Amino acid sequence: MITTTVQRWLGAFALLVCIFSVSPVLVIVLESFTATDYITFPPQGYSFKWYLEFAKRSEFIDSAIVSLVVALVSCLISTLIGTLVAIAIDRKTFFGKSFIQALFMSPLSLPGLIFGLALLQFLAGNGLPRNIYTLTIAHIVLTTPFAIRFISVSMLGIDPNVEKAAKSLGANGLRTFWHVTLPLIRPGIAASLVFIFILSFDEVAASLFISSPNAMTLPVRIFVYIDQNYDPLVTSVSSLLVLAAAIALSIIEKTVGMGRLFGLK
Amino acid sequence: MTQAPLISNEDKKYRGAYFLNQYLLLLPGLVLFLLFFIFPMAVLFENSFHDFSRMSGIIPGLTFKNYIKILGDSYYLEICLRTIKLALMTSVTTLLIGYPVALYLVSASARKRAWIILFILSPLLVSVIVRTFGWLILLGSNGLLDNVGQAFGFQLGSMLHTQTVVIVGLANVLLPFMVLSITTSLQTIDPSVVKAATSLGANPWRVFTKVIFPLSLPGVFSGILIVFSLASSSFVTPALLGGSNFKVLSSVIYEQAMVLQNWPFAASFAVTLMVIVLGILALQRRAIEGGKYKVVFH
Amino acid sequence: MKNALLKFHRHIAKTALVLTALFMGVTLVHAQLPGYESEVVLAGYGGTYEQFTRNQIITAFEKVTGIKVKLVVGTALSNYSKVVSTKNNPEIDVYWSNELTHAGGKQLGLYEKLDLKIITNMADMYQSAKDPDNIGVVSHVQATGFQYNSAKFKEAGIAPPSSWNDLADPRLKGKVALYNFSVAFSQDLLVILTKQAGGTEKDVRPGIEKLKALKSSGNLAYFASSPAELDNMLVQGQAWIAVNGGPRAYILKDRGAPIDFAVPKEGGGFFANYFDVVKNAPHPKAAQLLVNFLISPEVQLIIAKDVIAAPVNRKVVVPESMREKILMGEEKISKLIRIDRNEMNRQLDNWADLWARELEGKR
Repeated sequence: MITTTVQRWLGAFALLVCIFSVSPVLVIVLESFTATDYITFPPQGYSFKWYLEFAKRSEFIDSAIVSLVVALVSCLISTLIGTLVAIAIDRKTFFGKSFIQALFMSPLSLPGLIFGLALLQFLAGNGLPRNIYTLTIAHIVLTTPFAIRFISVSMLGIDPNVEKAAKSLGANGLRTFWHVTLPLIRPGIAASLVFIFILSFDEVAASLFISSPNAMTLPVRIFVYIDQNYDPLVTSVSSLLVLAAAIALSIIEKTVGMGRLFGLK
Repeated sequence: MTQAPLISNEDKKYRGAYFLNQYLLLLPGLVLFLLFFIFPMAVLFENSFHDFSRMSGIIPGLTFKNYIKILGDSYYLEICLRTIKLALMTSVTTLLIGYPVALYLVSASARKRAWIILFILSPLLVSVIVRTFGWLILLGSNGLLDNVGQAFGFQLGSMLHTQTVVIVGLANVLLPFMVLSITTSLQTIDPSVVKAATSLGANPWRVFTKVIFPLSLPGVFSGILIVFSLASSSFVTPALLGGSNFKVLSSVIYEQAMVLQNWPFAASFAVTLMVIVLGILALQRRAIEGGKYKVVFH
Repeated sequence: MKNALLKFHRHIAKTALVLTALFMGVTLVHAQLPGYESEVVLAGYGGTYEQFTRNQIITAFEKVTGIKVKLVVGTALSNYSKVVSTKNNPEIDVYWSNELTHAGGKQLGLYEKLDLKIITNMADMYQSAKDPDNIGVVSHVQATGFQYNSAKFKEAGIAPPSSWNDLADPRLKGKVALYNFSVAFSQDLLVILTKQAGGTEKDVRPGIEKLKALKSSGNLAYFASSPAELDNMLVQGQAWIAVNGGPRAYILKDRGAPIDFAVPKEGGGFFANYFDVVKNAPHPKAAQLLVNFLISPEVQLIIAKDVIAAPVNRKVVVPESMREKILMGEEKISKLIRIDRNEMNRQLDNWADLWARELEGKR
């Protein structure tokens, strides 16, 4: 589409932008190995001491566990609910279909901050506590739209003749679903599980409002710490989040591919 | 996404997954969303119409007091305008940075494309708190810029707490969305159209301005919309990079709710923020459906 | 790819089961000290406070009682808002409050009476540290004054600050930093300046005018939202003087930073912190035990030494080297400027509005 000289300039620019894009993450990981007691970049000296310090802090370990558990439960339940909804939506129009579709997609256009605030006021107003259960519910609500999207897209790609064939061979609805449809939407389910896990693990805005002393996710714990302190400890904690992202990235790349996941060809 | 369904409605009648009534399937999701989405939003909306006092909490009785306070007070109006301005400038910045990248992405080789996608999209998997903290380290005291400056004899100190820094941080966080949006749009352009324009004698610049860019407008607009709404509601980045000297709507919401316990007032700011975002969405709809590029969007 | 996905599914299922089991196991662990809960939640302060609270106080308490302490970190106000907003389902057991939030919470009925059967150390506390209704107890007293960069002052040939009016010294143009209004010290400063101008808590506009003058003259240049931010500004030399509590300044000084603390001759601000037990706390008995531990002579000394403030337990023996820095005894404490906290609670929102609009807003 474009001449080679223009292409070269664009390429150089794209390279710079790529560096710009990953630099903050790189900085954090590098800084986590600093030997100094304060934050300075480039780091001076190299040491694992901040990782050792991280391991000693029970509040960060607790938060890591909370984040892990919430993310795991969220991705499982979100994907389950999302699959059920996607199956229902995949059918021909029924009463209330477009309203229901809009309803389930609305958390996408709602800032997490506002949802967190709303949920907090709702819980307190009805005498409900903030704990790991309500935190998980918040994450499920926020991530279900993604599950629905991934699985719906997956279902769209299924050739109806396959299912017709199964039916004509005598399989009832449930058997057809279990043995024919389900295996075909496996990519969608896998994408949903991984993506929602990392989404929940990373979530900050809503969790800020719903976290409580006994159930505080790792990103929120980091934010609270940075608010009061400015030392390299949280860089090692943050590196854990980067590691989680890296793992998620490798799983996504091996299965569906980052580009395809986000809708690029 | 308006495209012809891949499966006709007729075929859907025989959809294999026809077990259980669809309402039964939707039930768990509906119950979840009713209890933990609709009800909370209703509570938020209703709370915004209440008064509050430190001594007695939320006062029963509906009133417009909070909204009058927001609209009538120049301090809060300034914050609203500042938020809008920040979001707009972030959108423009990401557009300027992201468009060339998107152009390169659609025209580069598969291998180069894979690398660019990796570098641009993978930060999306890292929490915003980590990415923003990285900027804090880069631009704060003893950060990269400060240390480099000191090596040359400049006492730069911290570059933080200005609008520019917040825009840099936000643009960094939100760039992937703009690139994605424009790229998907560019990918729908039929290359033969471009070839035709070139063969008719148009120089590359004209091909771009008269053919490529107009055809990519849907992506540009949707990118601006996404970045604008995410930037205007962003909390972590303005809080860390902007500090208390650069308050935006989300900072006010947090402060009113979590520090001053004035939930009704916080709720009214939240509603105001939603109105702003929905307003921009409506404006864009009108621009798309009525403007001269109408043809492109259908 | 299908195999990879199947394996992946199995992995997910296994990990999910293990983690769920772990999670359930963790929540079912029982108490160690018979009759007391297995953990207690303390809401305290950040920065250097967090360090000594965790390293010295919490470690000692956990060792002695076996009860795990969860520390919630924030400012007096942000922790207070947590106590208020969760009052139907309290998450915090012991709240380390300041005078203002102690008075406010008491009025709102948020705190529990202290159980003197468990809190035996109360007998050793100064009379002025006890609450007339036995709700909460003072933890320490400090003075609000000037935290300043002594090196910069010396360089510029300015004598150490000795009066509240010194903030307006033209030689300090662009060098004055204050906390933003959500931090107690700035709230108190507003009242102190009002009183210096002859006013009272009923109308703080005289104080606002003084602060506005500081801003328009160019002296007041920075607002900090956290202790770490303010400390940073002073140590770096961006700002030369701030209004803060003594402790923060002395901690930096001990670390070798060129920071010092000065109490104005008109009197520093009286600033006390309290330990309050939250009503319907999730771990009520452990909460009382923790408070007793916190006011014991040993912990009072830890707090006094690390915060660099006056202890309020008679049995505390302060080492010779620290006696000057730490206010001791009724006499010195009586010289500090006291503030009507009930009036402050009534008006705080209005003051916050005034401050935001007249001072911070104009940026």
